Amino acid sequence: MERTWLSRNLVPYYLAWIPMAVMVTMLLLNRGNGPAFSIIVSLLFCLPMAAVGAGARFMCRALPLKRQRMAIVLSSVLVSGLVFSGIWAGLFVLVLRLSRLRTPAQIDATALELFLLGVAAFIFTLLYHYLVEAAEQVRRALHSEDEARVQLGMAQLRALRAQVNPHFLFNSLNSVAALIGSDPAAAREMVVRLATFFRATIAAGRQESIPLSDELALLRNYLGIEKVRFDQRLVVEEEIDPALLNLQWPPLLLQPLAENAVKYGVSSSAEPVRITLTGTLEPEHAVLCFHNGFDRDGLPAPGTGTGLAATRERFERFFGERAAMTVEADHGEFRVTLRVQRERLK
Amino acid sequence: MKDALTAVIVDDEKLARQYLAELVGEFPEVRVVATCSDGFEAVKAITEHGPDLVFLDIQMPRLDGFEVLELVDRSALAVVFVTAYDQYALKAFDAHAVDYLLKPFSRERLALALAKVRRNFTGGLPGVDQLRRTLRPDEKYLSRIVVRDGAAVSVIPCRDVTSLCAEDDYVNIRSSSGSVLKHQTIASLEESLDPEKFVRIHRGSIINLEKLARIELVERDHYEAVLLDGQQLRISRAGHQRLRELLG
Repeated sequence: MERTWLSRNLVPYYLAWIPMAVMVTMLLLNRGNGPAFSIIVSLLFCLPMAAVGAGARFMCRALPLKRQRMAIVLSSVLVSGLVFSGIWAGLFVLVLRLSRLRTPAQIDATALELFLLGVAAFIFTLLYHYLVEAAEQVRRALHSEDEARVQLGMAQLRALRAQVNPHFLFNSLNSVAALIGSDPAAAREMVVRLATFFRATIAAGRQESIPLSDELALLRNYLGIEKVRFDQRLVVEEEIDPALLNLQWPPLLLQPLAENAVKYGVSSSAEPVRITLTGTLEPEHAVLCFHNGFDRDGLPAPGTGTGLAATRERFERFFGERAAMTVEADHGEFRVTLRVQRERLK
Repeated sequence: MKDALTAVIVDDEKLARQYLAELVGEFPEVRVVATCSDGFEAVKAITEHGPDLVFLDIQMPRLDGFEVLELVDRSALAVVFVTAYDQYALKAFDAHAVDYLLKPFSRERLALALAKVRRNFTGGLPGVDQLRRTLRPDEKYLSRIVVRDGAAVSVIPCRDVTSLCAEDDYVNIRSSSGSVLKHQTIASLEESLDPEKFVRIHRGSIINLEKLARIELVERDHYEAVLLDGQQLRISRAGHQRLRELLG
């Protein structure tokens, strides 16, 4: 693509110069020149023209056709055509005069014809390039539009897949299978909880925001499912200032935090793990704090980055610059603090 | 072959144990001799009962399923892994023809697994190291070493280890919490340790670089490593070269 004069998309361009070369040869033959002379001059005329014309593609890129700059483009096309063709004709005259192959009158007449032909060819060449360029642009535009659509779809798919965590799904189903035999009422309750969870997951993609009270209900529901699995190994505590409950909240923002707490805390620790959720009011901020223990000798603790990056991004996009999310992990404790400016409470 | 298969069930979730026990209970030819809720209990139960078969959960706190296998005598033990979802595990199991059950599983699937166990008794379980490596491509090196002494199991985080020295068929592992013997060759243990942190300084010893206090020249061409806990270990010529490369 970049090695212009050799590029494969230029093959039709070079082919188009063949009739031109034939035409110039015929013209010279008609003026009573010998065949050898006509062919040589024609080649000397067409080859550099074609090469320079190929380079003119850069000019098309540098001077794209835009309405307000049409005059500049046209005049520079004309000027460069004149200049290049002029130089060629000048050299032609000079060489023939010095070699005294023809009379000055013959030379001048042929040179003028070739000069005009050169200008015309140059302008046609540029037109050709502009056409190719325009076609290319249309193709690229279509392609990038497709790309954008595909990316959007992928993002949605990723989100959905992340929401349906297979570990969670299959382990929960296994709990249901176990409960059906031993405690059918509990099995029924578990199925209802699972249905609630998946309904919320599907709805989360459509809702921009929900009251924090709803978000907390979803979280309680999720932790309730995990509690069936882990029994006494999971302890949930919650202390939320009622003033926070009306806060508009991006749905399921807390979900990944709870999943991490289960994955790195509860499931890799033999001792009971406490998940604590507190909501308090500070003079400037409403503060939500998610806190859990983890086994230091178990799985490596979640880093303060990767897994939570998406949560952070979503939180900051929703609440703006004055909101802050901080993550601390040390001494077997993991804590995420979410600070939202108080005026958000209305 | 004995008439009834003896089996041990290992899962950290109570409901999962209960479900498995309930389904296995429908097969009179299988007798469950123990149910364990963690890896420590599992090692103890397998060592005590010497069962024919173990249903083994992979992800468990403190000691995972692979570590359990590492610590027990597997020569006459058939293993059926039980897992909810683990894409790597499934690939590894298929590759090594190890049987597994996916939670939740049906009675029929369990029957198939049992038939397979009976047909092909000790089932050619590959080395645990090999299985673990296929299974956890992102955890190339051990983060902890598990050791069993009788029924007691200790878990030593690799960062606490100071040195590992070969003693006959065993490796003596010294750490901040004392020293223990593990039945393994030093060469195979070396393979599972992070080479950036652990160096083989001699044919029979590996040290943790972070626990190295200094290197002393005892006489010409004879160096000794002095570790933070005061232990002195001879360094071979090749070992000295390796140390120099790592310490720059």
